[in-house]
Amino acid sequence: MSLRTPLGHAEGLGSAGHGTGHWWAQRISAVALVPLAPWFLWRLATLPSLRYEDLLHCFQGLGNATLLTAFLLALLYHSELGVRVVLEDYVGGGLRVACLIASRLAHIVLALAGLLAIARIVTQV
Amino acid sequence: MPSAANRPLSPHLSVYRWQYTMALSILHRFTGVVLSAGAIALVGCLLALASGPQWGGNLEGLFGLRIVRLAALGWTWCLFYHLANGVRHLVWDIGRGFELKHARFSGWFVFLSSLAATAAYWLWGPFEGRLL
Repeated sequence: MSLRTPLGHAEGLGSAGHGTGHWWAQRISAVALVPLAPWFLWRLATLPSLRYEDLLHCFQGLGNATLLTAFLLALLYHSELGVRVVLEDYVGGGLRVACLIASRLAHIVLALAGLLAIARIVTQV
Repeated sequence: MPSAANRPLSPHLSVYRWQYTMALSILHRFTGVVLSAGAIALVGCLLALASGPQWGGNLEGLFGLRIVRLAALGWTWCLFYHLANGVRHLVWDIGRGFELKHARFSGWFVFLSSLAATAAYWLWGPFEGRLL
């Protein structure tokens, strides 16, 4: 027995109205992170020291800065999608909407701050 | 239109016998949340690094603190676990590895390999174990 109306079946958007968008975005960001996260750990692992100059040098090259930007954005995007699901599952009532908005805004601010920081790291002498 | 009363309800979790695969599933969420919190620290470190030697120079001292190193160790385990279990999920997404035997084996494999990867990373990776 199908519980879907013919219109709902044709639209394929489900009860949330988003279809498989969230699911796909989570998978795509996950696939991006499979090589990017180990790359980031490897970069840190091959640091000669944690001195300022060494840290700066580690991500200053354009290639490394690009990968770091990709890692940061994929991480924050994947994080937003994941935290949203956790909030939807465990927070109820009016607090839920407040938490969802706060989480989304916090992730946007983190992404902007991270991008500006990387831009400044690249141009740091 | 079917009436609301006819709709199937999601069975409550408590009707299931406890199995370790459930713990693995909950760990995936838990490590995900820890990684999100760590992302805040990561952006904080990048901001410090971008703010010049006065701020960026403090990072070495910060990671000289045992509590910070332990937090970093925990964060890397969360990353290895979430990464390995995430790949396990992606394999399920293409329709493989659903047999009980395979799902149980991959569960153990993911858990143990995340521990091994974390140990190897901190023993031989950054700073050759000096950080612990």
